[in-house]
Amino acid sequence: MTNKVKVLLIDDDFEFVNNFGWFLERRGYDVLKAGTGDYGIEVAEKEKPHIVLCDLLLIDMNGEEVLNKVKQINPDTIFIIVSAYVDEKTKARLIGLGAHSYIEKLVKFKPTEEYIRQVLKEKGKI
Amino acid sequence: MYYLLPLLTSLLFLTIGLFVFLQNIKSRANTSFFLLCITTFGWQFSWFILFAFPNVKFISPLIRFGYTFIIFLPITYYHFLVSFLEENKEKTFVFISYLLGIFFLSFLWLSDKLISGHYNFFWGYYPKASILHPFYLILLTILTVKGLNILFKALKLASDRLGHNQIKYVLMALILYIPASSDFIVNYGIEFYPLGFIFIAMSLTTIAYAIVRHQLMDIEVIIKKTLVFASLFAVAFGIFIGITLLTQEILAGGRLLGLAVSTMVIIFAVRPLETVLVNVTNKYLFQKKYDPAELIRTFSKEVLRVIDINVLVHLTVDRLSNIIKIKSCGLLLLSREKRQYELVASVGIDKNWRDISLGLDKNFVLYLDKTKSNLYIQQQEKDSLLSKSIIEETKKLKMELAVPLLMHDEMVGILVLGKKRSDEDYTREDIDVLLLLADALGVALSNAMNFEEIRQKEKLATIGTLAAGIKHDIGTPINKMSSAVQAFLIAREEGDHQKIPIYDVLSNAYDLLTRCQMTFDKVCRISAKFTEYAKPRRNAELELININESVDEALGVLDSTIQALNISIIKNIEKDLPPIMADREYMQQIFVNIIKNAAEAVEDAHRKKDEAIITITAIEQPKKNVHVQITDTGIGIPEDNLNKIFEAFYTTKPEGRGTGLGLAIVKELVERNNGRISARSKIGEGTTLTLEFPGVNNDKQG
Repeated sequence: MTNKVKVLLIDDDFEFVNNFGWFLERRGYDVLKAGTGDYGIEVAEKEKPHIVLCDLLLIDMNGEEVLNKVKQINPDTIFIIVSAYVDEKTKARLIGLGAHSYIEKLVKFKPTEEYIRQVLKEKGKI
Repeated sequence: MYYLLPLLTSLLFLTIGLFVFLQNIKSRANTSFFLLCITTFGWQFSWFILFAFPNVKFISPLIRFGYTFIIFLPITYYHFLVSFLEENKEKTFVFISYLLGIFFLSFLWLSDKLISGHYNFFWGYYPKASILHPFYLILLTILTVKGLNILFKALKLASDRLGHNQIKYVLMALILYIPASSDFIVNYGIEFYPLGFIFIAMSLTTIAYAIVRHQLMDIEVIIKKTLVFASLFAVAFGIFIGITLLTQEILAGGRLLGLAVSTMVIIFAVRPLETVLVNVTNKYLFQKKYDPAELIRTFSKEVLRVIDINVLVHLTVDRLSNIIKIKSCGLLLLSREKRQYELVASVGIDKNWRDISLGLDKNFVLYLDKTKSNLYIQQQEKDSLLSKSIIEETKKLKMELAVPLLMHDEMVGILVLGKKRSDEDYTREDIDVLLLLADALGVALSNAMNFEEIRQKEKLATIGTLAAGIKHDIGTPINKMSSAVQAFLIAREEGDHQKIPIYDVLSNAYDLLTRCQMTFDKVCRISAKFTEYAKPRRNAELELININESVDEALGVLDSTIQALNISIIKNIEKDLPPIMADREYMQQIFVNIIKNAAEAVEDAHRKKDEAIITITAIEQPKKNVHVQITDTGIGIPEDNLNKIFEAFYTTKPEGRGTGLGLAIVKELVERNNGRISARSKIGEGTTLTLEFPGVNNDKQG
């Protein structure tokens, strides 16, 4: 693990992004943060993150659009949806579009970090 | 003038007797009643002639003629009682009485042993009793006592109330007739005007009353016209004879003039007299009569169209009890879950059984369900077709008549009817009309029950959608707050706080707690919004409502949905819009439903972001009326279907998406708030719903 894992957090809740980002940095991740879908795509294009955690309801666009763009930039990116509520139909559609999984808010920092590490291991990123 | 009263009595008896006779010639009771009327008529009519035409030449035969009827009066009366009560054992005695009658008759006509000569009293001539007369009185007494005896016995044995009532009235009639025998005292030379006719008239009235009210001798309504006609005839005839005779007495040879005067009086008096008689008979004898057509009309126009089950049941008992004039009325409705019938609406039913519910295993319920026909307690009791337990159950409920309300083969409800206010019995006609009504009511109830069920489902579906929104609305602030708390706790666990002054740590903690409290408040507000929506429906509580606030409240509920669908809301509400009188909660539900519908329509149209718009406009109209328009840029509704959108069960949405009750509920709610709703639409462009609410007169509000 010479190169740090790059995590991109996209959420219009800045406080959450900052706090969770602070925690992930502390656990050794290279954390990238974005408050809008547009900026998130821009960062993804520039920084090519290994994993993206993205909210579904963003101020400027839908999480689904972000997913599509990110997958266009790099199909290997692990894309995890983070949202307070998603109905089963939408969930299935997003998975079909290439999302890896779905995390329900409230996000518990420690278990979520463990989960991220496990996913990265499975995908051979670490 | 003394001759007028016997004249009236005699004519009344003749008419009633003829009428009863013609109603059913084959019936022994009717025939014997006719005989009784004929004898009374003969007696009173002869006395009328006797008093009116004091011609010495005819006195003797006239008195004998009149007495012929008097002899047979108690005999025919007894005959009638025996036929009416079907006391077949007494037939021999009736026969013997008739023989004795003939015996007295022969003495009357062939000798002076019964009647000898006459008195000359102030009102006219009157027969003088002779040796055999007391023997006749003995026969009369025996017959009267026997008559009373068989009536009392029958009264005790009467098993059903209808029969009981009939006997009661016949007995009363007889008792009233007895004082008429005081006329016989006059036969023995004691001078007082024979007032027997008063008692006879009272007796007749009692019989007539029983005929009308208790179907005595199976005679029904037509008697009303006959009664009026008979009275009219009697009065007219009385006037005619009276005036003719008066003029004749006062003016010698004034017979022609008398005829002319009386004819004139009759011509002018008949019409108003008829109106008076019709009113009197209507008021005292035919009060019970209601118009079955009115019942059916009221129900088909006003009651059966109601789709709200609650309103439907209450309207039913109210209108029914008012129109057919009954003391109590109740409606039991099937509760499928609890497997019982529950009293859901009632009028005049006492508290003790207002909370009543009847299990499906009750004999009474089983009976109705099995037979699928009405249960008339009196009649059933008489025919003793029912088990004792059923009779007892229904007696506890104080019901006279129970009618099952059927839909297909299911008994969805039971209509229970108490006594009529007039205390009379239900007739075949009543029951036929009620059965007809029950058919229609069963269908209406079943529809309303289904509507209620579906409305509940629809509500649950709406709640499902809302729940998702609320989970989002609650999850987001909690996640935000939790992230801050978790960061603080992890920093503490991992020793960060040891590097900074304790005062700063405390200050951080204080900030966090303050913000936690704010988050709690916010979450509470959101959950309150949800519970408010889920409350059961009730009557509108009108208060002054600001449309702008209602719209904002609705948008608050739908916030996440609208965001998720990427729809823009343009609110265009006049600043100084007058308030309306409406129910706050219902207004919110109205806007939530309409905006949700609009949002779904826009979503289905797959608009681009800048075209997915819902516009809410509210403007003041003349007289402070308020119009609100909600326009979407959805797919639009074809013109043919536009008028159907407010109907229950109509939907353009794919199956499983909605039951088509959304706008039906909206319409109902708008109407409960005294408003109106209409729609117009253009395919491919969108739909506009217009709500109109009446303005509030501020002057009156003070």
